[in-house]
Amino acid sequence: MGFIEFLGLLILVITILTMFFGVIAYFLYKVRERKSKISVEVKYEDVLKEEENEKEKKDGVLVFFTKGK
Amino acid sequence: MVKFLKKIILVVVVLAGMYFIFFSAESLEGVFFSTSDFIVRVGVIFVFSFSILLIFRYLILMFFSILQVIKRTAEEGSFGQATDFVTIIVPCFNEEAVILSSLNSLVQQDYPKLEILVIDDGSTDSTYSLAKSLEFKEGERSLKVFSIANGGKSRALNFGIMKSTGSLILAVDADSRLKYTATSLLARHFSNPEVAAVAGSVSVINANTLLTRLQSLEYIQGLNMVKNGQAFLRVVNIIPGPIGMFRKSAMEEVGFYAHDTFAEDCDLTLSLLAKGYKVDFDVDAISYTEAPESLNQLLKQRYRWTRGILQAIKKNKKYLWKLRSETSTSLTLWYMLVEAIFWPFIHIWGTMLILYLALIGGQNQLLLFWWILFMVLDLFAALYCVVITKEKLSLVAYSVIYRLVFLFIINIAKMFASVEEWFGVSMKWGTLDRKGRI
Repeated sequence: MGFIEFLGLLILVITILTMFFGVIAYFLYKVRERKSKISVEVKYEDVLKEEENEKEKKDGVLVFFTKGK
Repeated sequence: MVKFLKKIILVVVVLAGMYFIFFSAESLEGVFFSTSDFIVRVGVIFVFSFSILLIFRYLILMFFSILQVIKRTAEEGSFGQATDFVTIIVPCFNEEAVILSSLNSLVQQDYPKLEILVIDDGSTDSTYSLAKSLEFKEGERSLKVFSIANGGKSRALNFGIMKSTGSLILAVDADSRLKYTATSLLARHFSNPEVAAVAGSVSVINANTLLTRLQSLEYIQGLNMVKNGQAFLRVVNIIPGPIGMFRKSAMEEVGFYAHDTFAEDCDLTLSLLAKGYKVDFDVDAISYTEAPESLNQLLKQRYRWTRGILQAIKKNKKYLWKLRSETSTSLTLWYMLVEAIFWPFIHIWGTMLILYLALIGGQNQLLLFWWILFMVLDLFAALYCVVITKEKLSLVAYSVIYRLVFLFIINIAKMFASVEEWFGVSMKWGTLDRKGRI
């Protein structure tokens, strides 16, 4: 195998590997973004508030009285 | 001695590259005439036509860039002392790792009439208190910090402009450090009333890993060579976030920063060009910026840039077809479209076609030619840019893998980002992790 053939083969292998790596890296980035979005957007207080709202929807809102223990 | 050896190595590499390019061209000719396979012939024609296009692009940019260097050398000393009052606006969001270093570089600017406004865009870390500790007022120089509810970079910049008293606005990123002469170098261009904005030169400060060194090469080659070329015609298409000076009255005329794109700097520059203003570039006004150190962060940045540029093009698409009446804006938009969409697509699809030919037809020469062509052109361009920007000569060596690996990965991300923009997939601004290298 001559030097040019060897170089051609080397570039071929690097190109194929880079292409796969590039596609995988992009989708990994997208997955990480989606995960970080979920972790940022869902806060404990928000979940509590949501639950309270749902309860209010279910039981109705007390306008003139406060709920006793 | 080491420097001399480096130069010798570079000369040998360039000569070897030239030899390979001629050798490959000859073998390509052989491939074309020896085969009867239609797809292989299409592949050869594609590689040849693309090569001509690529060489033409490089030559045009380099030609204008050299003209700009000659023009700048001739103009040296003709600029008067700038006297306009300058307001530096620093929008920041969670930048505690870098804010002090960034603000210190602004305080040390040699320009006398200066006001620094730090706009904290609702940070949740100690950015505000750190910036507040640097507040001062001494004669015509001052630093003031404002805190606003988080609303994005463009809103923070517009808030700063509303609070400013200067007639010139210097917008800088909080993750950048300015060279002490940057403000005075940029301000002198505004003696020409036609100039509405001037871009500065961006240099990577943390070029200490393979990824950041490749980005450094990209900055000096892709950004500075291109901008220098565009500056000859005074149609610089993007004022970079880390350093860009604007005439406030011109900004007011186009409605300041818009909120509907993720590339507010690109959108504003296009609006200024459309109004008939000139946009210049000063290679010596340097901003040192922190480049992403992980691939994930880099992809995040490029994803945002690509979609932002596409949004700005989409917003100004009416100028695409006004070649006669709005020549400079139209040509600038076409150029951006080619660079942002056509180029990455051609790179990826071209490589895939050549890969197919190599794997199915055993035509490795096409792939070899493709790589050698890129490498030699990048090598020449990098050498030229290193001379212009006085960056490290060792960066030139990275041209060997610059396009083969680095730009290939970036262009894959750009291609996907373009497709997502086309289908209108929702996106958010996001922040990059700062390492505090500036």
